[in-house]
Amino acid sequence: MMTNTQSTAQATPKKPANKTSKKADPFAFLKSSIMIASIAGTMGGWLFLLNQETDSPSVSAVTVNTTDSGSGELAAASIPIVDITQLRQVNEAAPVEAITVVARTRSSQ
Amino acid sequence: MSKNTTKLATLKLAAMGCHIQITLNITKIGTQHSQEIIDHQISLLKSETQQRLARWEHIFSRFDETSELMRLNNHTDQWREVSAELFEVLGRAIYFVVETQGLITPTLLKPLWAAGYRQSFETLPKMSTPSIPVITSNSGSNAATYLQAQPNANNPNQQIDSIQCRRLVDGQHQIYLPAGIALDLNGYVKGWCAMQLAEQISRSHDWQLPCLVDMGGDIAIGVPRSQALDNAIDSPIVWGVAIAKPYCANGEHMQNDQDVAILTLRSGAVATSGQDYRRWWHKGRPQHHLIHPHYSRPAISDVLTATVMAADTVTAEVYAKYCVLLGVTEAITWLNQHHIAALLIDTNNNVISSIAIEPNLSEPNLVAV
Repeated sequence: MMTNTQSTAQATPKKPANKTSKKADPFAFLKSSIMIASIAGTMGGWLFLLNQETDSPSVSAVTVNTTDSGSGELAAASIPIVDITQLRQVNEAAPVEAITVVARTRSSQ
Repeated sequence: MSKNTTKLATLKLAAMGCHIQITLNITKIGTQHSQEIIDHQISLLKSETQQRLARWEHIFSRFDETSELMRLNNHTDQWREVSAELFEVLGRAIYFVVETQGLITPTLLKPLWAAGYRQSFETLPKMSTPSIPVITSNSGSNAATYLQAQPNANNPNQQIDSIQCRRLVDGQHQIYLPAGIALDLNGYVKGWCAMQLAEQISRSHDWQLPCLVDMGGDIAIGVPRSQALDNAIDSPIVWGVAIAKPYCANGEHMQNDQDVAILTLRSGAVATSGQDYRRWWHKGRPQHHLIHPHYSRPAISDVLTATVMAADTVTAEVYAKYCVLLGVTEAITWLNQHHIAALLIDTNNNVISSIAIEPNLSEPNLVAV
C-alpha cells in the first residue's frame, strides 16, 4: 500500500505529463483523414455493390461451392439456384404411384 | 385420409348382354363439392348412361327383330335411312375389313346363325364336355383339315364392296345393303359404346371426370381435356387393368387373384377376345363366336385369348379377334411388325407377349397360366 502511493506520486507530475501528450499527436489530423476516407470508401463500395445487385437478375447466376473431394483437394461444384417453392412442387407432383387394379379384361361377357 | 389418396366411385350396369362397370375418379371434385352433391350427380350420370345404352341396344341388337340393324338386314337391295350411330359403326367396320385382309368383317351374321347362335348366349345349350381344339393354324392336322379345308364359295367378303353408305345434304344417313347380306356388328359395338361413354364422361359432362369404362372386358379410358394436353398441369391418372386368366372349358372363370398380368394405362383402350367363353354345342359339335370368313365356321386356332392395347376400343377389339384368327405365330409376327402391345394365351396355356406391351406391364414377370 505504501509502495503504491509513493510510485504514483513520482510517476504523475502534472507538467511533464501534459508535454508528453502534445508531442504524441503530430499525425492525428492525418490519421483522422485516412480513417474518414477509409470509411467513406467502404460505404461507397457497399452502395455500389448493392446497386449492382438490384440491376442484375438475382437467379441467373450460379453459386460456386467448394467441396472436399476426399483426396485433400478442393473441388468446385456449381449448384443452380432453385426456388424452394419449385422444389416443393416437384416433390408433391411425383409421389410414388400405387397401381390399383380397377378392372379386368377377359373374353367378352 | 392422406393428401394423395385416390377417391373412386363405381357404377355397375347390365345392358347389351354384358356386365358394364364405370369407374370414376372423384378425387378432385371431392375437395370441391359435398358428398351429397357428388352422390346426386353420380346418380344422374347413371340414369343418363342407362338411357344411352338402351338407345344403342335398340339400334344394334341382332336378337331384336325391331332393332334398327335387323330392320336394315330385313330390307336389303334398297336404300334405307339409318341413325348416325349405325352409320358410324358400319363405316368403321368396313374400314377394318381392308385392314385385316378380310378376316374381320361385319357380314358374318348368317354363318353365325348356321353355327346355332340365333338367340341370346345365355339361352344356348352349353357344351357337355370340355373341348378346345389344340391345333396350330399352320399345322395341317386332320382336325383342322376336317373343319377348315374347304373355303366357302360364297365368301361374305366378296360382297363387302357392294355395301354403300351415303350422307345426304340434309344430314340424313343412308345405307344400301345388297340382297343376301346380313350384318352383325356385335364385334364392334361394345368397344364403340365404351369409347362413347368414356368421352362423354371425361369431356362433355360438367365435371369432366377421369374414368374407366369396362364393357364386359372391353375397356376405354376417359381423359379430361385439361389432362390430355402436352403442357397440362395435371398428368393423366394411371389405371391398373388386370388380364384375367381364360375361362375354364366349363365356362367358369378363375378367381380374380389368378390374373395373368397387370397393365398400366393412362389413356386409350384395351380389349380381349377369345374362344374360351362364348362356346356352345350345336349339331353335335362345339362352336364359338369367332367365325372364320373364308370357311364360314368357327375358327380353329391355337390362340385361346388375345388381349390388345390400342388408341381406341374398337381397334383393340378388332385386332384381338384378328390375332385369334391368325394363330400364335402369325399374330406375334404381325404385332411386332406394327409395334402393337398385346398378350396372347395359347391353347396350351402358354403366355406370349409382344415387345410393345413391356412398358405397360406393371410387373415384368408374367404369371404362368
